[in-house]
Formats: sequence, C-alpha cells, structure tokens
Amino acid sequence: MPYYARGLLSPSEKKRPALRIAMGLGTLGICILAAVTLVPFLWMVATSLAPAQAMFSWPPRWFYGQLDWSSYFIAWQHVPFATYIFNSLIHCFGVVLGQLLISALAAYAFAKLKPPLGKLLLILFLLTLMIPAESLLIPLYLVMKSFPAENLPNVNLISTFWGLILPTVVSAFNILILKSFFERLPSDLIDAGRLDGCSEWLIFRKIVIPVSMPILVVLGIFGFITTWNSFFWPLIVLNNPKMYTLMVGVQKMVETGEPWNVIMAVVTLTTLPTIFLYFVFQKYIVRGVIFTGMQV
Amino acid sequence: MAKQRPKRLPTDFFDRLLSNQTDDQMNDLLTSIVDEQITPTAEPPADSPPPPEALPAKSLRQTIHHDKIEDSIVTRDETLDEEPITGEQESPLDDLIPRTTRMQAPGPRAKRPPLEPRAPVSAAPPEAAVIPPQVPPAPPKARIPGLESLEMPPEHLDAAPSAEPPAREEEVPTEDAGVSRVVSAPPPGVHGAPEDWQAGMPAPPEMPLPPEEAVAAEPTVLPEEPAAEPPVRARPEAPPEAPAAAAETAPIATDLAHTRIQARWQRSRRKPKLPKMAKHVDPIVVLPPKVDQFNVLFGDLSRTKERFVFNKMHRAALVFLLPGFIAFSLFSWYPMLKGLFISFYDYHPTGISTFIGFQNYARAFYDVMFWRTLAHAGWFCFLVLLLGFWLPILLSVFINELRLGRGLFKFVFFLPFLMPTVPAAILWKWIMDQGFGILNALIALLPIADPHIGWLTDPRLALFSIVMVYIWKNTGWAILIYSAALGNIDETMYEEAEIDGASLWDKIKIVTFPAMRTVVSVMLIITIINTLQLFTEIYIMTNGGPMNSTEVIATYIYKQAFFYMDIGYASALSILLLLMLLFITIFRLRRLEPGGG
Repeated sequence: MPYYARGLLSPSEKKRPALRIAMGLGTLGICILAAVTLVPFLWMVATSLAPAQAMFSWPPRWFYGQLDWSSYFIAWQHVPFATYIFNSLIHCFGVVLGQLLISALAAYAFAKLKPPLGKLLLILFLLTLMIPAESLLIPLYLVMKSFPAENLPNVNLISTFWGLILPTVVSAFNILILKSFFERLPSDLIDAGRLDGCSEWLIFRKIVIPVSMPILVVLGIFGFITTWNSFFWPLIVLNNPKMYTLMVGVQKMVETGEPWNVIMAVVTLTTLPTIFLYFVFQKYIVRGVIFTGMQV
Repeated sequence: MAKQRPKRLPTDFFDRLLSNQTDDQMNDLLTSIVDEQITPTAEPPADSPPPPEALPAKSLRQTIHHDKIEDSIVTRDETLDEEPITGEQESPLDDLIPRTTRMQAPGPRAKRPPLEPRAPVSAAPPEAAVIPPQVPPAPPKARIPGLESLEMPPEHLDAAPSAEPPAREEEVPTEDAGVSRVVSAPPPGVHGAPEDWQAGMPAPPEMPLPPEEAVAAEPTVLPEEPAAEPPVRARPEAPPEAPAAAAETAPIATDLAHTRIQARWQRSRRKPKLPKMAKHVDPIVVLPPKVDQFNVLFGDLSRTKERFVFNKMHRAALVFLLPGFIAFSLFSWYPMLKGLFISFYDYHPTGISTFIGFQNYARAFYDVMFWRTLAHAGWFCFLVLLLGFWLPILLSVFINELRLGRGLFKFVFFLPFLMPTVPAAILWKWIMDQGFGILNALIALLPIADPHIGWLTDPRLALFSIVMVYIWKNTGWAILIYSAALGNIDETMYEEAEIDGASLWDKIKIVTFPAMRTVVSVMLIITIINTLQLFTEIYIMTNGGPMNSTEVIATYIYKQAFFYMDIGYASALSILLLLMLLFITIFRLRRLEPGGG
C-alpha cells in the first residue's frame, strides 16, 4: 500500500460509522462544489460552440445538435488577437525582466553588500508596499503623460510600451522576497568569488544569479501571470487600439456588443493559454502561490 | 597660540601604533602625545597678575618631560580646558585611553591614541597655584610613563583663590580608573574673575577659537581664555633644554594635538548646564559616552569599533541600488508626492490649477456617493468574509482527509483562479444574464414564478452577485495556501495526541488550530485589502452597477478622474483610500516579515 500522509483522522476513527457517514456526505458536498466550480467553464465552451441564433433562445441548451466553430473564426477576424498577444507578451517580458533585474540587484546589495544608509533605503523601498495601486494610478498617469516631469523637457509615454511597462517594474515585494533569500546564501560562496578576483558584478552574474535561479523563476512566472492578467493600468494608459494588451482588447471588444457566442470564443481563447501554461509550470506556480501568498 | 596648533595626525602614526614596537618605543610615542597635551604654563597669582614676561618661558610647542614636571605647575591648553580635571590613577597610560575607544589590535601597547587631549592628573596642592613661574622644575622623580603625579591646578580657580580652592581640588576617587573623570564645573561667579586681571593689566586681545573647538568651548568658559593667553604668548626666551626636548617630540606631537577625533571627542563632552547663581557646585563625575556618537548613524559599526570605510563593496552596492532607486523615485515616490500635491488643487492638467487647500477632502466628507462607496466596499468585504472565508478552510481540511483525488480537487478549485480576471468577469456576466443566462435557466428548474432574476441589474442583488464571483474565483487560491499550512503539520503530532487519548475535537483544538492560526490571520488581512481595492470585476460586470449600487472606491476614483476629469478630487479620494489601507497594511507587513507568507 503506498504511503500517503494521514490527516486529522486516525484509521480507527475513519471506521466509526458516524464519521464514515460524515465523510461520505462531505465527499458528496465537495463533488457538488467542484461541479459548481466547473460549470461556468463548460458553459463558456458550450456557448462558444453554439450557433449565433441560439443566443436568444429560452431556455438555453447545452448542445444544439452540432458544433458550430464559426464563432472562433469570427472572433479571430474581429479581434486582432495576434496584435494583442504580441503586445501582451512584450508587456509581460518587459515587466518581468525589469522587475527581476532591479529587484535582484537591489536585494543583493541590501543583503550582502551592506551599503551605507542601506537600511534607510530599504525602508523607503518597502514603504511602497503600503501604497495601493489605485492610489498611484492618477499621478502615474500624469507622470507618464509628461515624463519625467512637466516643467522639464518631457515626452508623452501614454499609449507606448514604455508607459505600459515602466511603472510596474518597481516591485518592493520581490525585493523583500529576494533579500530574505540572498541573506540565506552562504557568504563563503561570494567570498570565494572575491578571492578569485571577481568584480562584484561578475560575482552577481556568475554566482548569485545561477544559485538563485529557482526563486527567480518562481518570481518571474508570477510576475508574468500578474502582468498578463493586469487590467487597470493598461486600461488607463493605453488609448490606441493598436497598443491594447489582450485583456484590454477583450474588454473593449465586449463593449462593442458582439454576440455572446463570439465573446465566449474570445474568452475561451484568452483562458486556454493560461491553463496550458499552468500545466507546463505547475510546480513553480503552486510553489509560488504558497511561497508568496500572493494574488495573481 | 591657536594658530600654531597642528591639525593632523602624522600619516604613519597608526602604523607605528599598530606595529609591534617595543615597550620603550611605545612609551616614547605615548609620552610624546601626553607631552604635547600638557603644555606648561604658569598660573598667575590671583591677586597680582604678573606681567607676561614673568611667566615661565616655554613656548607652546615645547614639551616637558614628565620626570621634570613633578613639582612644576602644569596647566593645559586653556581653550580646551573648560573644566579642571583631577584624579588619581594607578596606570596613567590606561587612563589616557578612554574605555570606549579601545581597539583590538596586536601588540601589548597597541591602543588607540587618547581621544581626549587632557591627561587626567592628580590635584595639585593648594600652594602649587602660587609658586612663582620662574621656579625651575624639580628634578625628576617619576619614571616612564611617569604621569602618576602630574599636577595641575585648575587655573580658572586661581582667579579667585579665596573662594573655595580646597573644595575644588579634592580628589574624587574614581570607581573605574581611566574611565571616569572628575569634573569640577566652575560656577559662573568664578569664571567672572578676570576682573581682578583687568585691574592690573589691559585685557588681552581675544584670540579666535579654532573651528574645531568652537563647539567645545562653552560660553561660560570663554572669559577665562584671555586670562590664560598672555603668559603663553609672552614667553620670549625658552630654557636652554627646551629646544632639544621639542626637537625630539615635535614631529609627532605637533601633528597629534588636534585631530578630528579629538574635536569630536570634545564635542561629545559638553559641560552639563549649571544653575547660574550657584556659588559652589560639587564635582560632577562625567562618564565618557558608551558609544562613539558619530557611529550611531551606522548602526552596528559602533559595536565593532571599526571606522566606517567606504570600500569597493559599498561602491558596488550603490551602483546596484541605482536602478532601483531611480525606478522607485520615478514611479513610486514621486507620483505619491505628486498625488498628495494634486489633492490640494483644483487640478487641470492643461489649464490653470488653483490651490484650494483641504476643499477636496471636505468635498469628499460631504459627498454622499463617497460614503456609499465606502459602505459598498465594507458590505462587500463583510459578505466575502461571511460567505467565502470559512469555505476554503473547511475544504482544505476535508481534502487533506481524502485518500484519493486530493490533487484533482485542488486543481479543480484552482482553475477559476488560473483564469484571468477579465475573461472570468465577462463569462459571469453572460452566466448571470437576465434574459438568457444559464443561471436563470437553472433557477427556472425550480418552481419559481419569475425565473428571470436580474443578478446584475437588480440594485439589491448586484453586489451579492459579484461577491459570488469573487468567492468562486479566489477559493482555490486560499485552498492551496491552507493546504500548504496543513501539510506542514507533523502527522506524528496527531498520533501522539491520540495515544494521549485525545478526541477528534481535542486534536483539532490542540494541533490543527495553532498550525492554522497564523495563516488564517494573514489571509484575513489579505482578503480585506483585496476586497477594498476591488476594481476589475466591478468595472466589467456592472461598472458601478444599477443605480450606483455596486460603486466602490476604485471605480469611483476612476470615474472622477477619467470620466468627469476632476483629477484633484480623485487624488484626494486616492489619498483617503491610501490612508484607510495603510492601517491594515501595517499588519500585513508585520506578518510578512518572519516567513514570507
């Protein structure tokens, strides 16, 4: 019999009739809940495969005799998916690279190099954790509109990738996590590099980065998912339809009043990649969710 | 005299200190230090101040060997000596080195040079004060280090010798040799004594204080300075042996006397304030500060006793921090300040902005809609906690009991969380569609009169519907976290509890609850914060909802800023939201510190 971690109940308790009934009822309940959780997905796929005229039939049915794939073609034609996905990918990679680079450098400096006034700077960085994103949106919009400042020679970054990416590369949370990770790195590792004559940058690139790859991957995937799903800031900063990210583009498409089967096809196409990615990076995502306790 | 004072240590001083020198060499070195600091001048008798020529003919640069100053009158540099320092020491070299500045360095005598220019010396007998300056020094008695009996009458007391010299010159036993200094703080009445001088001779011109000592010298001390200077400046001829002695020790001594360290030390040793009218004040024991006050800024550096040195690592650190600093200042700190700034303005980005003080905040206070958004957010948060908070806890505990399908159930519940918020909200908008949604179709299976329930169009229901979506979307995430917490419980603890006869409820109470408590409290705070910041779901599903029934803070801010173009007011609302969340976030930060979730 394969070993599995026992839970609260002991084997003898599991044989008690009252608990057996409770477990049975619980299993039933959890199955119902799982079904309730899954029904929206089924409904999403069912609608996307339903014919257009079925959208206004009552009562709605799950299956209309044949699968109608036309909504996907319409969706692909009406929504410039390629553009949106391209924009989203650039957005995600830019944010992830920027976030990881800045956070890793800063966290390594805080953890191992101990600069003067480092504690003060760290506190200043971490204070931004307390600022909700909503509070920063308006001033950030104004800053991006005339970057870096109004009374200086400035550029308008609204509806550009710079305006989209730059404000989200600051991540005090990543600094916090990475700093606690770097502090646990043995200093001998770094001193060994120093003895061999590495510059600090070489130590960082050749020793610290490879050693901390696991956590960087977790944080990177999380940053990617968060950025992929982000909606509020792209909604504000992007005015040009050619620059829309996937989420903004989908929402704008819904506002134009497409029929529901097309919309559901779009929603399905938007959802599938993330679920596919989950299967690829399952280990990292689960670990990341648990590790950071953070919301995607 | 002040101009002659050297400013810097010799470059090789610390090397010499730290190298393994013989005791004799070290003695010479330290002796030279002491000599420099104890500059002999004579005290003029109080009643009849002698003419300057009558003073001992020793220049300032000149030093005295300790063995010759046994009975001589020794004064110190008056600009440094606010207070006479008396005290008996067993080991004068130890006394020279303040407790706080000991260095761990090789060599028996490898200690830091005295930070304090004055060597604590024993009190002079009262008659020493009136010995004529011309009296040659007595033959040497003390050997190297030879400072046991340096005598030093507190010169500023001599101005009024009849007042209470004996009281001042009492030797106060020090509890820790070399650590405590006896400071008899002169009352102002005594300081004012130069009137006696002025009767006999014109007041000497004031010498400007060197900048280092401007801090150290207190106003009450200043008057005595001119009194001490004439003797020093008016010593034309030195005794024949003096130049030789000076020549030996000058290279070190000249450089030693006033270093930055000394100046800092003096700054840290300000005199305690005394009541103005006090005629006599008992000697006050002033302990040197426990830490080098300069290094307090740099935290534990003061504990390691190392001077802060900006090395290659620090330079690299600053370079590494530069991108973060720039990014944070441009995209966090500056916008935050700008938002705060704007909230006090009637702000028009292209037109003229006018400062209106707190009017935006006052407007928010009288804005019914703002209070409604707060109520909606609070009600939303309450509903999520009431309906959805216990669900993942229960589910994770139950899933943990299952023998089969743990991963499957976790994955199924986690699926909604994987779905991005925007498609999820759109999907639910369709599901909850009043006319053709599947939810109403399922309701229609029940015998209800009107199956067309306006989930998102009924003002009474809309918020509740969004709560349902929120719970659907976030339960799986919470299950994952709670499961991790449950997995951290050592199962042998359950077994031990069973062996001790614990019932099921006992096991929950003793083992499960304590393990889950931290996680649950963290989740509680995160849930509150996230629900208060809710935007995307509401924006997509109702956009503030039927008759503003789902308007929350974020959507209201968004509308004010980008729909009504009232950016100043929206900024004020943002600041209010920030203040509200700040209080909660402080808890979150504190929880995050130990384990990172």
